[in-house]
Amino acid sequence: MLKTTTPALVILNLLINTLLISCVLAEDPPLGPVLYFSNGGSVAGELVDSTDPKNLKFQSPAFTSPFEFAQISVKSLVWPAAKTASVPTGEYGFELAGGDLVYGSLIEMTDEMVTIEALRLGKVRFARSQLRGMSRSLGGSNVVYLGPNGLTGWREPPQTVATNLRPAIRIANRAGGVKPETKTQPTKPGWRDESGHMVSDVPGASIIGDLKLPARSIVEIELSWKAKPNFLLALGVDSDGDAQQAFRFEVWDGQLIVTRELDEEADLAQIAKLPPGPGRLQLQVLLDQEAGSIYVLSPDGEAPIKLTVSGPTSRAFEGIRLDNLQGDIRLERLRISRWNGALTVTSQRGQDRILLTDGSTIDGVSVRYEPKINSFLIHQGTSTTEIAAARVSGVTLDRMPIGPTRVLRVFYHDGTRISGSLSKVEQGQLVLNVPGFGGEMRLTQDGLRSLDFLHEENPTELVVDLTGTLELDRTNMRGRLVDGQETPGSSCLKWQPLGSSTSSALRQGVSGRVIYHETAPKLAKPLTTNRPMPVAPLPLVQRVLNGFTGGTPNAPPLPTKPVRRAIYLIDGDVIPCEVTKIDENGVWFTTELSSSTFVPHEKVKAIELANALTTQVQLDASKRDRLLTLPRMQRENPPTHMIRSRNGDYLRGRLVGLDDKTLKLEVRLEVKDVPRDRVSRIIWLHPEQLDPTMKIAPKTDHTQTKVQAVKSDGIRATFMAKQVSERTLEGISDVLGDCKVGLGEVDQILIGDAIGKSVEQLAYQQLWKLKKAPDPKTVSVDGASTPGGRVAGTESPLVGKPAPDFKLDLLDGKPFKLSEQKGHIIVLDFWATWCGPCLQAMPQVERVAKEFKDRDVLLIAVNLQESPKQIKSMLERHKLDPVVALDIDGVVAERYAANAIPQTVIIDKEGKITHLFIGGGPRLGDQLRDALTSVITPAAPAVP
Amino acid sequence: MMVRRNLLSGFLVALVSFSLSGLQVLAQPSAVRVGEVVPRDVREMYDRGLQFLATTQSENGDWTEGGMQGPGVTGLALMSFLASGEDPNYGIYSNHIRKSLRNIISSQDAITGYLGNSMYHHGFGMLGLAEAYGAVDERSLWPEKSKEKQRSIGQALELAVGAALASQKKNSLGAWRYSPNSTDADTSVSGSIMVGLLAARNAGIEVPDEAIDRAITYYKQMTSPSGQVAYAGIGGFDESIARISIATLVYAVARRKDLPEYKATLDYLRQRLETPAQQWPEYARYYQAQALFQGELEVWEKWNKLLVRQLKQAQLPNGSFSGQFGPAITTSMSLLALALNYRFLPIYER
Repeated sequence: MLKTTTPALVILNLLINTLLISCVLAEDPPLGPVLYFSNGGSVAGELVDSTDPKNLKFQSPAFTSPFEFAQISVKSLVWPAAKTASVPTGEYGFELAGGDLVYGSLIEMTDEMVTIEALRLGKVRFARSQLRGMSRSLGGSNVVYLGPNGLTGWREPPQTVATNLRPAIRIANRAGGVKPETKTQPTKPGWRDESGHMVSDVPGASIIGDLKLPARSIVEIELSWKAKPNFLLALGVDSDGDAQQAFRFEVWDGQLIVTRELDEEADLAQIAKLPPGPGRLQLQVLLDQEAGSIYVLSPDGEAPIKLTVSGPTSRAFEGIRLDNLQGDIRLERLRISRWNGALTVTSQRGQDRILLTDGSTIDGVSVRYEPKINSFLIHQGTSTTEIAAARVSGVTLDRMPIGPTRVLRVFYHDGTRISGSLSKVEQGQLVLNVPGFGGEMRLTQDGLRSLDFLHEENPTELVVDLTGTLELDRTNMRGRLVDGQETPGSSCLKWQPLGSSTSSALRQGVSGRVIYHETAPKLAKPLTTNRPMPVAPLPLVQRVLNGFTGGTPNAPPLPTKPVRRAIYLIDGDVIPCEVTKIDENGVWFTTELSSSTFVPHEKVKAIELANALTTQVQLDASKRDRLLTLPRMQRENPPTHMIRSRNGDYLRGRLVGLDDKTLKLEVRLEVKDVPRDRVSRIIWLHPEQLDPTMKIAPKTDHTQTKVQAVKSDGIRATFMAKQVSERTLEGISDVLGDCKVGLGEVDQILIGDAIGKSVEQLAYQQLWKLKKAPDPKTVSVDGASTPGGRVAGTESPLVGKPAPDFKLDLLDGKPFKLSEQKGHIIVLDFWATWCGPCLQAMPQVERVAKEFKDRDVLLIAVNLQESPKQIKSMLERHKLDPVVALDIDGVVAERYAANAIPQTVIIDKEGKITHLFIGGGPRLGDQLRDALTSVITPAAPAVP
Repeated sequence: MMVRRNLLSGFLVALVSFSLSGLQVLAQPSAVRVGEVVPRDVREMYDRGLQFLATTQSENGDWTEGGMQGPGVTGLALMSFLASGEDPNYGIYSNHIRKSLRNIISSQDAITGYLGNSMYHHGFGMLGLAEAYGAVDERSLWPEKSKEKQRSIGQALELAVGAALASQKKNSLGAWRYSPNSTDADTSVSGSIMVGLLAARNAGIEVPDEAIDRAITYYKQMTSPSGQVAYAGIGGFDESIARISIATLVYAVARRKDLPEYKATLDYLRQRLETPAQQWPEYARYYQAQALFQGELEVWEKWNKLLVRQLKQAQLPNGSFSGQFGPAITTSMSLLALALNYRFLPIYER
């Protein structure tokens, strides 16, 4: 249900009358202000002196000279939150025409004029008609919290608290919010401090501020978000964060509501629509927890939205809680002040009112202040009442001041707001024309929170050809590249933002990108086979062999998209070309793009030579992982290349050379010849990058501007940009030489360090990285008991735990279920035919198991993911005869954490793991014998 | 212990490698043949290494700047110079060679014949003398005035051989350990002595068959059927590429390629050409090079490619190689591992 109060209600002590919801890109606040454009863009920088009343001169640190933005194109400038709480000083807050608010002391008030001594403004004299009222209630002493100042005073609740929010979450869920079961308390911090703001993008992250929220309070809140708003703000939570009784602001289906639930009563009121996308919310609420009432103040004198939910169980609590349910949320400002609860209803117009500190009011006309007696005078009928200033907590004047439309509002962190028009910026100060104040006012930027331009309409933007978006750190501007030349200190990338009458060159060393067309990332496309096909029944050996030597594939070639013959460079370049040869120095090629013919090995990541013939060999992530794992024994002789046959087989080795007929690859120190027409792709593994000392990023050369042009067809070229001329970006590539790229042909231009970040996401760079096989856990060489006197085989965390049950087929075809073996002592020996140490260990294990055969010991050799044929031939060769269980998909090995084999596990008759040996070793037999003996005859308890 | 992942990938490569050797894939004919030119990069590396040794040799003819020092270190450096093929008497390193020899001989105990520090030094010092004997002109070895009192290379070598044999006689295991008077033995120290003795015998110094046979018996005891070679005492086999190489070399130079132990150790090495040494890689390489060279030329050629690649990466700008025992011995051992490419030293004869 929607409750509203009657229009006759007028809020008196109303200081901020806004409920502003503006769609502003919530960028990370920089050190200086961020300028937000009406078109949604933004740029970080500093205001620069300017005498032009129509333009704002703004210097971004990324550019060599300032821009001049038409004020009409600017939405706001936002400064970062102050490091320390900024508390207004002054006896009164004066509410002025246009929603302005200044703090200071009252010097004189006559029927005509008011004189105040105001913070920042000094002595100001203005027409009485400009004053709406004044209030002591927000004097410094009445402010109990002003922030946030990072996370100070706030804490994230422990996990159990989350359940206390059930009712709220339940409602939210009904209304399309998050599902309760998906709400999990994050284990890592869910909230962070960003320039004093409290920010969370962790779903479900909750934070509680013990803020001494008075039972009656005025709470001003500013929130913003980058995506769809979905948060919960609870006013009046207990010290555990329990929001059961709190007044809760929630977002239901894009609608901001306020709600409160008591055992006996619940209600809610709609406040505003919050459209998806980035946005900001400013709320002011008057809260009376004892009365169970909340007033949400609406824009521009509209009636406040009131919700009252009270009952015998209603209690007041002092905390505030904010949950980020989904997406992100940023608390930019929160001010809590004591409220005297005065909310007077009047039906009479034309009356002034004096609010007294005892809570009573005196209505009359022509309130004046007489400094000589430090008293207020009010006329009631024919009499005049004199009230000592000390008894007065506020004054409200009858007339709603109406002034000319304000163009600009200046907000300070302490709450001061002044509106007018900006005539100039001089010596860093804002020179403002404030209607009614007569003359100009000079405002410092110190303590500024924001400048908001109050345009009624968005400017119509003249979008010209080749308009793109420039993304830099804390900057996102629509505009275009104009002609420019590289000069010392400045790049040739000269940017003219929409709305700016000037263009400016990017400084050298800046990182970012120009986006003309946003393309979806095409991750891994060239690296996965197009259509999964059933795995061919041919043995692996035969398939690999066929792949490289031209044996008849057992499936007809599938039509696949023709591959582009190209070189893929480490820097991300994709150069369509014909590779003519590869020698010890690098790759030789011919390309239509350039007369260059050579690129050294250290720059190459891959080359595509020919289409794949079939898609029968699938490369899934785990296979690729295996291919890219460098065994310990090869660490000193790592493979440098991976070649892929046209059948999809991969082979690791060291590329020795390639000519028009033959690829020479060193495999296991032997050079093999592979017909070139069998090779579809060569990938450079760059094992030197495994060396941690190589990971240090090369120093960015700040005397040049490196760019990478990205075309929609995936072609990329990296070069040093030298000039932009006639819609063409020109430069020099160290591989291709002179480069020219038409701006109309590119999707993006990456600049500086942004190139590296983008390139990391490319398929070859991201997926084809060699990595070292993990070092073994330290196992004592001779398998002797471990330090600390523990018995060997009892170190694993699995020891003492119930053995995970499983059901596997045995090699002879019979099923085996562990849980059906109670009464037997089971020895599980995890092994594989390719594992040398397993084959060394197995005879020992088998021998010992046989020794204990008539004492209910049963050996099950769990084979990992191999075919019965392979297993049988190995067992015959080694003359072994254990009972083999087939762990076809490796699930059982996973349950027993058998990621290093051989692993031998003893399970007692009750189904509990008693011993677990990893790595075999010459003494495994003895250890196993000792372990089995101890399992069969448990050690007698020590006699005291 | 093995980690599954390693093995899986290793397995895959092995499989592929196997498949490649079949059908239409042609194995590359050996690139290096006896008598062919030494690859340029090997020559350059070797020369830079020698430059380092030459410039860091002390006035006394030894290497004293950090790390291990003594007749063994001097002996290995001396061999590095001799192995380069430069004329030992008139070539650019002839002075360094003479200085090294004078240093080794001067350090020798005139009575016992013991070459300082430990039996390691004795072994490598003796080997250095043996390789120089007959190649270096004694007449220009000593300055005129000191000639009277100094031993010749041959005398010093004979004396050193005597010391080694005396030590062996006292040893119940028929081998050697750090101290000449030890009753214990290990396969590492014994390797240095054995190779020294065999080189001396090749140079014409009398070394009784009985002594060689006793030591060979010791090595046989220390070799497991799998080809692994234990360190000290009896038993305790594990994978030490250095010791397996030492045993292979000792069997080969002692002309005992007929032994099953020799076949086992050589096979072990052959199957693990890419296995890096767990520690002291320069020491392992020094012996592995000779063992594989003596064992099977084609296998050595394969391994040698890897060696050249690794040493190329490891060589420091000043031409040295760094290792736990200091630059002089690490550089010498690395160069001597490469020196099989030159085949100048008599001990490298197959």
